Amino acid sequence: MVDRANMGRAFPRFTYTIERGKLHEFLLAIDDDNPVYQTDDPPMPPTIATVFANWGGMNLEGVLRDIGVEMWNVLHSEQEYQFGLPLHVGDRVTGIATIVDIYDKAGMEFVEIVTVYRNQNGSEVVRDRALLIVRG
Amino acid sequence: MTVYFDDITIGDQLPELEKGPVSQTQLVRYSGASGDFNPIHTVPEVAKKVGLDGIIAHGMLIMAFGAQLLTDWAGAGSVRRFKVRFSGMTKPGETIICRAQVTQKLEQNGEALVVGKVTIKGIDDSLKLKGEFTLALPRK
Repeated sequence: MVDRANMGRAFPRFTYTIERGKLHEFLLAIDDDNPVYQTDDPPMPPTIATVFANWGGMNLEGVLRDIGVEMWNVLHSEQEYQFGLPLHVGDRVTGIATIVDIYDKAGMEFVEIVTVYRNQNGSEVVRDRALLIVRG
Repeated sequence: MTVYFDDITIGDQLPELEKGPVSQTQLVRYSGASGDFNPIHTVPEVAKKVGLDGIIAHGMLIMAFGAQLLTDWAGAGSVRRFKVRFSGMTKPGETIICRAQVTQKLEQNGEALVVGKVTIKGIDDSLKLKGEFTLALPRK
C-alpha cells in the first residue's frame, strides 16, 4: 500500500525548452500532418506536455519509486490537460509535480499526480493531471 | 475552414478521424519522440514477461489521436481542456476510429466554449478510451 503521508508531496522542478525539431519529431510520431504546425510560430499539439515531462527530467519512475511504487506495476487510468496561455517554440517551461491524492477504490489503489507547467514569465501554460492505478 | 461558435448545435458530431493502422515502427517513433521508453511498448519479450500477448501502444498515443480530432476541427489553439479515461489496450495492426459530439455550449471569461465527449474505438468496435473536451471557438 502506498503511504498516505505522501499526499501533498511536491517533487523537484524540472525545465524543458521547446524545440522545433522535437515538435516535428512528435508530430511525425503521432502522424499529424496539419500544416499549421509548419508555420513560423506554430501552436503546440495538446498532448505535447508528455515531452516536457519525459525530456525535461520529471523522472516519473523516480517519483514513483520514492513512494514505493514500481513503474512496471502502474497503469494509466486517466489523463487530463487544462490549457492556459499559448505555448511557443523557444519557451522555457518549468514543471512542478505534486501527488495530490492517494486512495482505494474497487479494490485498486489510485495515485493522482498534478503537474503545473509555467512559461519563462511565470504564467501557467498547462495543468496536467494523471491518475495512475497501482496493481496489487 | 473556420468553425464558428454560432454555427454549432448541441448534438453536432465532429468529422470522424481514422488513424493507423498503428505499427510497431510508430510505437518506436512515439517512444523516442515522447520520451516514454517503457519497454512494454517496444520489446515483445518484456511485454510477454508482464503477462501481455505482445507489445501495446502507449495510451498517450491514442490520446494524441483524439486531440488531433479536436484540432483538425477547431484549430490547435482552441483546446482549453481535454480529459480521457483509458479503457482498452491497442496492439500493432489496429486501425483506430475517433469520434466526438458537442454536448454543451457556454460562455465563460469572455470566451465562447463548446463542451463535448470523445469516444475512441478500434475498427472492431473495442473501446480504447472515452474523453471530455472544452474548445474555445470564434464568433461570427
